[in-house]
Amino acid sequence: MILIRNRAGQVLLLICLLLATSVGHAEMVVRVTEGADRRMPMAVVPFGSSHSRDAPEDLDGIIRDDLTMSGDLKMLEPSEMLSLPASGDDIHFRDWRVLGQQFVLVGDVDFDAERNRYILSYELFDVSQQERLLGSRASAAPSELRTLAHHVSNRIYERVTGVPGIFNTRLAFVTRTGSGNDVEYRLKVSDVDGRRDQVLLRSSEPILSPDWSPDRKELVYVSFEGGRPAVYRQVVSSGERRRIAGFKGLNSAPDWSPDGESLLLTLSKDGSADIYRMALDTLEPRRLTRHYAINTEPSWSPNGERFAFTSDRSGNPQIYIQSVSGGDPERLTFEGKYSAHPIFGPDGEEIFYIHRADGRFLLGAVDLETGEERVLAGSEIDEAPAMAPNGRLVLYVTNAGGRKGALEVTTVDGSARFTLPVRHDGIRDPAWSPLSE
Amino acid sequence: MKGDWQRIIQAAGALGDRAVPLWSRLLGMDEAGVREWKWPVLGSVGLHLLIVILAVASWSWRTQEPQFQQPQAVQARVVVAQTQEPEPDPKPEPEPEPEPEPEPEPEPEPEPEPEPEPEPEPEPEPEPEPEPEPEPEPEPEPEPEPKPEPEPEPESEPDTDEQRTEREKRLEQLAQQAQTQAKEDQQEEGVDVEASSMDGINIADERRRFNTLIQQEVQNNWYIPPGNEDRVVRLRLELLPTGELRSVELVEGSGSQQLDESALSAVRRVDSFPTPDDSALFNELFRGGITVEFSPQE
Repeated sequence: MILIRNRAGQVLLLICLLLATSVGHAEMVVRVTEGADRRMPMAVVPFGSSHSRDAPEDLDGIIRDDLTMSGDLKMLEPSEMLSLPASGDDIHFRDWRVLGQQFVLVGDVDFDAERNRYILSYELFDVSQQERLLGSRASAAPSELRTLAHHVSNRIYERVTGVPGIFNTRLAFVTRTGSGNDVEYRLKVSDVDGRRDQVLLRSSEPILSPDWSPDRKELVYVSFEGGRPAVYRQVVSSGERRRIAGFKGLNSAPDWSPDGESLLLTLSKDGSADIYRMALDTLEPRRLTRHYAINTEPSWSPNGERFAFTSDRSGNPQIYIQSVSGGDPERLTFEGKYSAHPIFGPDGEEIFYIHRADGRFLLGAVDLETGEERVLAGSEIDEAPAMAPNGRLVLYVTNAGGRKGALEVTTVDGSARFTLPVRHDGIRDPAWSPLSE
Repeated sequence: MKGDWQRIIQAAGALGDRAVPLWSRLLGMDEAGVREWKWPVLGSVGLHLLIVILAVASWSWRTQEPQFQQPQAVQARVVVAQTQEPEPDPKPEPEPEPEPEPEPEPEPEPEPEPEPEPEPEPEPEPEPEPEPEPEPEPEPEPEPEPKPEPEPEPESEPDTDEQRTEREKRLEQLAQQAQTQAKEDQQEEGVDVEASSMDGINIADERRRFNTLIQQEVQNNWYIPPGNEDRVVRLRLELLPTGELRSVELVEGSGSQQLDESALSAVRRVDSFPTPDDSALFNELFRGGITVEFSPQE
């Protein structure tokens, strides 16, 4: 009996030991919360050509510029590529792996002489998984090749980030050229990369604050033609326009509502400069702020329930927020003596604005939940910022560091900046169109 | 010893005697009848006990067996590197990909060609310029989609079968040589090859160390698609002692296809995971796989 009991004790001990061993073998869990770089490395290989006629546009070059501008992708220079495959069958994944690429885009351009169209076949691959993520063909007339390239950029960007691409959206902005009696203001629209710009309006008097309608077919802006400021509404494609606000005093800073049915704007018809909401069918303004100080630059929240604006009621310009249905405004910014031109971030949780610090104007942002204010380093800003319709980028004009009259974009987290290749003298007030349907 | 056995048998006999009345009542037999069966029953019980004891003894003996004999593989890797043989690709072959749908693209929306219009405002200068806003979307080509299969990584040196067999033989010989050499070396150094080599190693420290090393390696190869804060992806990895990835499995998706793909890409981009040279330690840390959890933070 004693022997058995001893053996039983040994068995029990053995079981305990085994349990202890299995606890010792608890599986390793590795937690990773940061990545190598905010930008994913991608190679856009110069497209092959199945025809003798050179395309009038550098399609792969446009796509590289687009994707670089996104701030989320890092392009490999063609000169660093080890091979130039034009289709998936020709890809040696090892080449791209060695070069540290995550994605590779290959394509081939053909020309259909009968239809006078270029046809681009393209394929996108994940290098480490050796997996084709996308493959398609698209065609365009010779005059529309840039549109075609932007379209492909959108599809690529969307596939690898899950975020809608903004490469076929448009910009509106104002330029001022000449001096003295020869000053000319121009209201322009362009592709998102600043190319293919067209003049919508010329005037010897200032033009200000263009803003897009949600369906991106129209613009509103302020024009001083006739010596007094008034708000105009203009159809982009036809040029048809009409004056919609010409009240006594100030008529400025129109901001089109997300539902497209009304504007917020600044009027001084009742004495002080205040924010009004004006329905576009009745053109009757309804006053939203009431303060003897200046209240201006209203900006709708994405859900159309609130608006941010600039007011100097505290003695210097600061950002405030208020409900469209009424109530008291709440002050959002406290740092420094100048914060102005608010715009909402995409999810309505953050507001971006111009902030002056140490004599420089920088892009600031305030978190609506925590009230935390931050400055996006290096973003020297000279004009009102504009938010990209996918919420990933903020656009602004800069004249800093030899970048006179340049349009610059920064990612909303400030991790990447990109200067658009096209410069415009005296550029101001950029506005970013909504995404196309 | 002999005395012990006698005492045990006597004790068993006494035990049997004591149980006789109970069994006679249970079986309805008289005590003499039951007593006749005492020794056969005790013998049978003894035999069973012996079997149990032997089974238990052999079980505990087995647990002392070395469980993993990987040093050969570690040595083999060195040989492979020297001969520049393409490494055995531990990656799971690219799964046949769900074919991206041919994506009908939006028809070019021929925007109404704006008729050049005269200025709306006669008075001052501003003249709205006719603005042709051509935005034809690229037109979909109805052609059937070419379906290039994800291609396996091309071999750098395509070998003939003979060459390959030859090379494999050579490698095997080299690996065996290396293994024998390693064993001899270890024995020369007085190391007991069969014994656990974890003596003096703090497992918890090693676990932490390799956790950090692997985290670093994965992090260096992870590119996070934007806007995925607060999402979590969990992958389960099986590693070879050489540090190569044996298999990867998506255990828990994040809800974002892009984030899941980025995590899978990250672990597949790692050329070699940090693993201990010591096979017993490898066994201790990595047997049964590891979990890598990706959760992007702002």
